[in-house]
Amino acid sequence: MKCKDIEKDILLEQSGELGWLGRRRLARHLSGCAACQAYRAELLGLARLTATEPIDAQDATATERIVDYARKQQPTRSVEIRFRPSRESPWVTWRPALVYAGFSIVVATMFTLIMRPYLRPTELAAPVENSAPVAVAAVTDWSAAELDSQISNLNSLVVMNGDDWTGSATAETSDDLDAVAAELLAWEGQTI
Amino acid sequence: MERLEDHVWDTMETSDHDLLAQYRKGDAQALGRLVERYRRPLFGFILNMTEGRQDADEIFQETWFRAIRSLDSYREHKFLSWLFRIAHNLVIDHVRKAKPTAEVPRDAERAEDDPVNRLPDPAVRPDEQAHGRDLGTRIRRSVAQLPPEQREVFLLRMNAQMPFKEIAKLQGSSINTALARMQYALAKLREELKDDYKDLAGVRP
Repeated sequence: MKCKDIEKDILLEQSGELGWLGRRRLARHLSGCAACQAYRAELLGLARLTATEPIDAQDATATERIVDYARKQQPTRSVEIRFRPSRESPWVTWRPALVYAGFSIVVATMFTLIMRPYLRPTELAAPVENSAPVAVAAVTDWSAAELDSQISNLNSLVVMNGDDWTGSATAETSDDLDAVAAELLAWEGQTI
Repeated sequence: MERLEDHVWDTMETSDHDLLAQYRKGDAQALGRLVERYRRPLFGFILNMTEGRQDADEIFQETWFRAIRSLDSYREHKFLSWLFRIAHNLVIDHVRKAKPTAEVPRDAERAEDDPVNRLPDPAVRPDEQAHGRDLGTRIRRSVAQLPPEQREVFLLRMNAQMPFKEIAKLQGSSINTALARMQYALAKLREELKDDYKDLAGVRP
């Protein structure tokens, strides 16, 4: 940054009008610029000197005359002066809070949109149309009773094919079981 | 970081309102205390913006008279800024009356229709010339040579410790313009005072 711009920062710093970022920028610049350091020190000295420099003697009776005039102008009844705490509009006062709230909403919305696929519950394939007598429903639709029903149906199919579910399968029954499995998967819309 | 007027502005603002409230309740001396409090920056400003002591005395008095009359409409946060705005307007009115046919300056920076640009340079007194080596006096003489709008910014900032935001509002300009005027004023002072200006770095409170 140019020293000419930093001079403005120095002026604003001494009048108490330099913000936090400006003060940081100024401190960084001053640490490596002797000319601006001198400018700042001279300005401070000038302010001290002019603040204490005696001014020409004023008309000694001026204050007295002003007080006399004030007494004559004084209202007959006591009126309380009400001072406005600030002339700034509510928009200016609340602007930082509104900006922060808006920013938070935008961040929350973006986070939700990005994370949405990971937050949704896992679903099985959609139920097959024209469902068979022993249709396998989506996991979310299962209940304990339905699960038992599904297992017993499966068992009956296995028994129908000439073997017990838990017994040792022959080559023939094994082929049958493969066929049953293929059928079940077909109901689910999948293939082996 | 150090700021000269930190406590000055803060403490003054709180008790200004108290003094005005006391005045409104019947204590005229409360207003006298207020006049004394701001006598130095206000009179110093007026004196440096006008031609002579008599004019300055009149404008100083009229500033307070007008402030007293307008106290009902006073609703500003900073009393000193309000007071200086009255003084600023009176100085301009004074110049309009004193020099209705003032010559238009050649300087391009000086707007033709801005009365503050027709303000006279305050005269340097003979005793000041005799003690010209004094740094404070030399600064005052150099300030007197500044263009009026730069001089006004310098005085409002240095004498009255007014923030640039308030100065800009008073002059009807942007804060950047006020800062640039101050920069020009300081550059000219530095040029005028040469090595003495560098001695300012050693001035202690």
